[in-house]
Amino acid sequence: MSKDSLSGGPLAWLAANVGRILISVFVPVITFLVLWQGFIFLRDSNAPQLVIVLVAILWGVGGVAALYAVANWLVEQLPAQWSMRLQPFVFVGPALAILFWFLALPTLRTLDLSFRDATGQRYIGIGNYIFALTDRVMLEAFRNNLLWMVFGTLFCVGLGLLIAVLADRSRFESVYKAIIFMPMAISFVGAGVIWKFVYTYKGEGAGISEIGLLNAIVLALGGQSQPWLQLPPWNNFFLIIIMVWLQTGFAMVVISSAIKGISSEVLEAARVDGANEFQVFWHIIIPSIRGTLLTVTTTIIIFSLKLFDIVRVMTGGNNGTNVIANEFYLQRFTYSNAGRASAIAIILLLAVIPVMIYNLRQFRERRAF
Amino acid sequence: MTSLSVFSPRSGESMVILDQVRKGIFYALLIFWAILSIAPLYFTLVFSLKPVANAYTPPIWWPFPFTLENYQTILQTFELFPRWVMNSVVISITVTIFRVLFCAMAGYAFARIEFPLKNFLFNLLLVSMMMPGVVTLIPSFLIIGPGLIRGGISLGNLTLPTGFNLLDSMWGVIVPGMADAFGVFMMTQFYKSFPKELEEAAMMDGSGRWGTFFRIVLPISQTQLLTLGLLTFQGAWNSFMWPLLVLRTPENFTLPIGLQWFRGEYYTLYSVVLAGSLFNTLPMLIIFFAFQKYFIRSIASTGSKEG
Repeated sequence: MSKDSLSGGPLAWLAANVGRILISVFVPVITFLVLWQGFIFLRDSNAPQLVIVLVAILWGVGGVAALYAVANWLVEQLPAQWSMRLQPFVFVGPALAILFWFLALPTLRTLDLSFRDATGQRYIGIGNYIFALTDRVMLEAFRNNLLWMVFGTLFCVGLGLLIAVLADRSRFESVYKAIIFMPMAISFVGAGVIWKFVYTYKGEGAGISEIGLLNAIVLALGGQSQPWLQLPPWNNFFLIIIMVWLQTGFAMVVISSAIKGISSEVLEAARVDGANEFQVFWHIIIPSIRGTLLTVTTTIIIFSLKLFDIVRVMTGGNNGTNVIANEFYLQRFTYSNAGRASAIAIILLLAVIPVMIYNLRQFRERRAF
Repeated sequence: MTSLSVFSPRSGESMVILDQVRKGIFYALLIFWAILSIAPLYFTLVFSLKPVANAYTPPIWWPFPFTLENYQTILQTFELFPRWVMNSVVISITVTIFRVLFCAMAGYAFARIEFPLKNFLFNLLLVSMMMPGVVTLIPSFLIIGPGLIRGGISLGNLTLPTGFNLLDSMWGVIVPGMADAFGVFMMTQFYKSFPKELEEAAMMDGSGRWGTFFRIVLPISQTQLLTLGLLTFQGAWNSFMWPLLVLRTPENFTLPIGLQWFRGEYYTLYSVVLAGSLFNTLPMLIIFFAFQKYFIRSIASTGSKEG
């Protein structure tokens, strides 16, 4: 059917489709303008907040639905061949547009900014990168990120694996899993408040008693209360515990579902042949879930490289707990140095890229797409 | 697999005892970590139920004497608190609706329709999923705020703005959250494993892609949409850094930002601070326990998560 519209040569085709083309240009423009006006009106209006909010949601959802209906109708008005070609973009368009606008474009802009001075006016060459790779503050941040990456990942994956294996054999498996998975639902700010309460230190003095949970436990056991978050380098480990607390549940759930995928005949055969539980674990379970273990590990490595919220909320990077992402935040928002901040961000991106490439390969091997 | 010794061929008195010991250690470990997962939360709750007069005494085991004084203090003396809750609810729900729709559409297209550059775009999507947030933070901020190019692009006497000028507005938080790579990835994986026959039948009957998508595909994928919706809601409800940058006046704060601010004000009164934080944490925990299997399923099926 699409061939008919093209049979008379390009000119005839154009003549036949001029109306359609005009409509397909004007209708979206008009729809967009109407929506934009509504938006401006909403932004500047003085109506009560609740009314604005309700209208805004209606406008937003309705507006998007209208845009869609219009876009799809248009695509269907076009000659069938074009319609076939364009339709996929109606589907992927919005998601990709937002991702492009807020991910691809910003990355390029950050790269550009990283070669400029503090205010982003002039190019100053690689000065920002020299700072980011040699400054004492940055070196400390690199060391700490390395600690997070090695110990954080090790504990999360190790504990996740151990608990997944144990829970698999226990009664009340789902109860353990639910409880251990629960911290994942809590926000970093919520976790920050809770863990500040755990680590609080009041010091010594008449009439002062420790209200921190950990210090209360230490005192009850006859020890000395400690300012846990001000003891470099150990304070890094106290912060890492928070990440382990939040993330072990994630590792456990993923690993546990992989373990359930191992065929029970293989396991039983091994046991009948006289393998003990440790042999089964090392020679059957681990090799069978290797892919999953690697995926979980790389996900948590990326997470620990990007880590920001825990440090920001708990110590602000003081007392030797700074990390790369927090130093970025300080450079940008405390010292207002866009150039240095951008260089730090690009270095963080470079650090993540090898892990990222590895992950992409994994996805491909698992035929994820 | 309730017993470990069932398949062990070397059975005897000593083996049975050894198995008992081993089992004991296993359970001890499990129970230990379960307690560790729940203890900080439990003591936070108990501490927040303490009378203000006891705010400077050590943590206690049971909420006794019991009082809701701290919660009342927050709601009565801090008139902005209900407003923050409201802002958080509105923003989270709006983000969730848009993101579920957009991600489902994009995921469906990636899984079903052939189009040019598809693999390239999908790779790009996976890359952006793992990208550290700080890399894009400053420019995203400029795009939402004053614009990448200050003053806009001039075309004759027409000036095109390069930014949305949405600082300090809830739309500044909502717009960038309307789509996300993880969601598209999750929905793509889902639609790939989804039988084609129903759609094909609908297409035969003459409803176009669009109609098929809304009438057949979306209703059938309800469960998956609910899962994505829950994850999105959780992310939006807990989100911290972006709202911290975009929102300026206390009236517009979301709950986590408000809490951080509130913590500065009431820093010394720990029982009040902890009660405040529970306003943020408890609703999420309730949703989490109610829909637990969806959370677990989504994470187990993609082997990945947001953030």
